[in-house]
Amino acid sequence: MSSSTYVQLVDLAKHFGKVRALDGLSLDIAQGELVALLGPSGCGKTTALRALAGLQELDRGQLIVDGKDVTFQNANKRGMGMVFQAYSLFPHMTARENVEYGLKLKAHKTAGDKRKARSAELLELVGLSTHANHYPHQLSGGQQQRVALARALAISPKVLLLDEPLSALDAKVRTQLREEIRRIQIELGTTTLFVTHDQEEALSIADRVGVMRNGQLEQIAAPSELYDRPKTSFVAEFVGLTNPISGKVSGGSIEILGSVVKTLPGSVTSGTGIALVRPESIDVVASKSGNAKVAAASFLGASCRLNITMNDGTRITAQLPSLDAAGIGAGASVAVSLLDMPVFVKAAG
Amino acid sequence: MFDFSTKPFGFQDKGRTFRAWQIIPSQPDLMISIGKSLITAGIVMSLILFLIVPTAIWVHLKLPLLRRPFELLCLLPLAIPAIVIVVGIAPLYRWISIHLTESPITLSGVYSMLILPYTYRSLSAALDAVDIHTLAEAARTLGANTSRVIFGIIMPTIKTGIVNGSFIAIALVMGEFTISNILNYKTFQVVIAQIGRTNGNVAVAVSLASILFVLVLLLAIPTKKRQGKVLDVDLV
Repeated sequence: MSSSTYVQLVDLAKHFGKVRALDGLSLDIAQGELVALLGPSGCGKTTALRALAGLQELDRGQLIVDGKDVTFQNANKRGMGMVFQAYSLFPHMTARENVEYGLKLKAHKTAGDKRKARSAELLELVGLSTHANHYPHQLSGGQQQRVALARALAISPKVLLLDEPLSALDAKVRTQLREEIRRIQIELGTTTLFVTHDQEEALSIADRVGVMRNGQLEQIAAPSELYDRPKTSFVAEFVGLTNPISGKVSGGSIEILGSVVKTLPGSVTSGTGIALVRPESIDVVASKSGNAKVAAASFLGASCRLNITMNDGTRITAQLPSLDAAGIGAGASVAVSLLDMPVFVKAAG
Repeated sequence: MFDFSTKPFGFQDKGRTFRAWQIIPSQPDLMISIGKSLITAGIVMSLILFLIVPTAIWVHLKLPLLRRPFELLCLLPLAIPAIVIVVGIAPLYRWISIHLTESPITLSGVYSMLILPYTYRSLSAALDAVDIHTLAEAARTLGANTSRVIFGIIMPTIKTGIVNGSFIAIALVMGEFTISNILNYKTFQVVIAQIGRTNGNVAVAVSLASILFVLVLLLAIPTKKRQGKVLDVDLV
């Protein structure tokens, strides 16, 4: 445990029948840090979050928050603020009453005036001060989740737990709200655990992202490190797009697409391997005597995605800035090479 | 019924008369029975609020596997004929009237059982319509204990279902005849039947009044009102 560790999940295990939701999960979170848990459905990320909230009993393991063991503490005494995936505002209360609710309870009892000031301050923080007297059914989905965030923050939680709070919202609102969550989290310095299956969401707002699989943490690292230096093939393939290209591995390098590139630690060390190459690691230049042809080109705004068929029949996807891709359309002859970026290589077959 | 209640009493009366309605208050047994039936209905409603509703919420929240057996149990009074129930509970009520009291208010016990099918269905539908699990978990993380979750969050959320169930229960208690008559209790309906034997017009007038009372009660059931329009839905 490092000196700044605030939350510790130690060797958590939970079975649901034959399904292992958590299988020895350990995770440390520093004070004021935002950690995102990312993974496919059923990987155990929500179970871990619910266990920390006190809403899920564990078969084994220990939960430590601020130096105190909270493993067997009731949810209503843990002081965790939680925002749920489903809309969870109390329908018979206005936005302000929802935010004040926690402050009226014994655990966080606050005097009337202070309570009102606190709810006003938080509704202001989430940009809904003009909606304080609206009932949940008078608010849009995004507004409801903002109020839920304000309600969770009102009790000055030890840890803010976000259980896919944006998944029910449409794309534009989702992007806007996730940026606001990050702004508010930095402003208040609240230690936060954020669970999501949306990698863009996790990579864009988290200090560190933990990728989970089968109840275990595959890798936890800063978003850029996770993307550029995956430690396992699962992480490489789950986070971002990859092109599986086979080649010969020797001496910490692999030869693919006519280039020799370094392999990342954890990769296959000899023989034939499959390199997992990011689309943006592939350089494409229009050339009449090139080694490939463009099968299809998709304009994505700032970038352009090209589906390319190599002369040997291999199909790959490249992504380059739209300016560089100008003039490269479907049917164009191109020269494909690799940028000098290390790749993860998994065993063939 | 209005026609019958306003027909002439005898040969001396001609045309329409409201004498049957006018002498309702002067029937001593009737007024007492109305009072006692209302008290019984009040007790049944309290039992609904403090026993049946929390139990239904608890089963929905914590014991989902017991939902079906609980539902079946609640439906049983509908399947068992009233006469069978009376035969079953008669010894108990005989003991109560000998050793405790002869007041018809004691019928609130058996009535609470009779109203179960209607009340439970109404509550169950209301509980299924909202995500009570998430609401309960949200309240718990904010510091609420179990009783606060049930009485402060879930019950206000399913208010309409509770009110519906309670009003149906009142209507049932005010209209029940078989059990109270066989057990020899002077409830509202039993007294109406007795009056009917001596003065048909008054009995019809009282029956019509009781129907109107229940109708007003049913009309008072709050429908799901929205407190306002959906605003700014295009905003985040």
